[in-house]
Amino acid sequence: MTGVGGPSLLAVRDLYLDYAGAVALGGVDLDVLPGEAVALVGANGAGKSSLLAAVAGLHRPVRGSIVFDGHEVGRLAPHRIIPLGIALVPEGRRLFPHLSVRRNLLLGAYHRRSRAEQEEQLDVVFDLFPFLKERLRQRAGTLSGGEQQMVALARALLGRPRLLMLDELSLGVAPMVVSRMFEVLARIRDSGMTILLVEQKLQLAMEFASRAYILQTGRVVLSGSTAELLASEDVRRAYLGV
Amino acid sequence: MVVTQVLVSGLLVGGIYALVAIGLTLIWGILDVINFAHGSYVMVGMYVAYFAWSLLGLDPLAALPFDAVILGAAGYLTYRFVIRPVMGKSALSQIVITFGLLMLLEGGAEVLWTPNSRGVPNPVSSHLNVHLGGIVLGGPQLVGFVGAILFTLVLAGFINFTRTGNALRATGEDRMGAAVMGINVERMNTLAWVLGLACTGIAGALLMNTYTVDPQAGVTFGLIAFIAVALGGFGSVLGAGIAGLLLGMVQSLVSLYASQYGLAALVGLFLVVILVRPTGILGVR
Repeated sequence: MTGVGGPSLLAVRDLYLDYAGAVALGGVDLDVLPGEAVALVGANGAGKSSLLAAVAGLHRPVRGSIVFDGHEVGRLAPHRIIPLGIALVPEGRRLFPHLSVRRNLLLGAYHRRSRAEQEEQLDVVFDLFPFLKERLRQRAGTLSGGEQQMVALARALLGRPRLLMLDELSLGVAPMVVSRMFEVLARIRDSGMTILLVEQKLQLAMEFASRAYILQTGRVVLSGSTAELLASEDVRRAYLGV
Repeated sequence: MVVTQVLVSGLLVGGIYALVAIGLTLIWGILDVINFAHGSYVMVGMYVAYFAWSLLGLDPLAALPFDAVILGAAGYLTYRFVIRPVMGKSALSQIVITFGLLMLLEGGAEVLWTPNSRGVPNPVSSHLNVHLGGIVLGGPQLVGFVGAILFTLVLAGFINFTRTGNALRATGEDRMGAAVMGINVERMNTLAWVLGLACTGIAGALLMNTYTVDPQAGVTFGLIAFIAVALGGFGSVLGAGIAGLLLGMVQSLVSLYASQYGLAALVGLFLVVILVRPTGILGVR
């Protein structure tokens, strides 16, 4: 990995991961600098989601290291990693459907015990997603798909992460809602949040992020600034399909 | 008047059914594991209260906190050494292992404590009979009911209104979602077993006010708890509680007219509800 200066907030080195008996990642290097938005792109099964899951501690790597803010987290359990300042909006949202929206949101701040801090962060989230205010008492499972996705995003923000990881935010969400969601995400990004996102909608991902990694069958085949990647005709044809 | 008396007596027994069922539904709701040995733990809880009396001279009510702690510890050990190895394995292996626990506990009780029935004569609660407009509320039953309802309320309050309780519910709803929140899912699994079996310890102590214990004493309670959980909707604490009370009354009422068929009636009721409303009375799944 070249072209990245300064200390990384997240540094993945030579990461190997098996999933369901198959190789999910085969030696991945990746850096995310403080304040930047990085996209992971590639075909289905390329290992994008596995990488996010490994950073969050959901999968244990076979080899390699994951360093977040100076801490080696590659072999820690999620409940040790998340409090360090990592949040993951997992694929499929993973809300708690029978719990109220309010409880879902507050569980996002589970590792932050301070009540005052939670209330303060609730206000930040209401500012980004005003509709949440009217839905606080509603069961999360009764919301529309788009609304649920926004609750999942808001819930992740409640823990005041320093690294926000997003897995297929646009999946199963109406295009209109996706563009609204990305407007909000752009606000979050511009406020200085570090973001690592996996996104099926390539155009969207490449426009949103400043850098991207292209994964193919568990390896990084290309990486660079999104402008560079999009400018190369070969890259566009071979990997991006745009 | 007879019917009222019978219904009230049934309600009192139902309180204990409710407590046992809530322990079972808690474990089911959080871990998706059916504890077929649940009734056997009630039996162990009864023996704990019995020996607290025979060895230490403690009244079952005084033994109650110890019973809760001992069975809670049994819950910890059971989860750690028996259940955790089969988490994420097939439902069949989970069924077999908890069924094996049932055999082990009952067999062990027979070897250690003989098949004889044992009881605590003259517990303190037997002097607490209440006469209410021609209806007699037996002291031991009344104490059992009040104790069961109190503990149920405490447990429900804990689950619904505390940070850890919310984390417990979240774990039951979506394990991966809970992990991503930074919830220690393993600890929640353990907690569900500790609380679930503490319920059986408390129930065991309360039951020793009225019943005698033998190695098979838990079978009925396990069966009734299972029916209550199914009626109340798997994983629903409130549903299991209400169903427990209802089952006590139905059993008591049927026994009045056909004394042999009390339990059979419950199984019949179970079948009807499962056919008409498979999600249970308050079921949401």
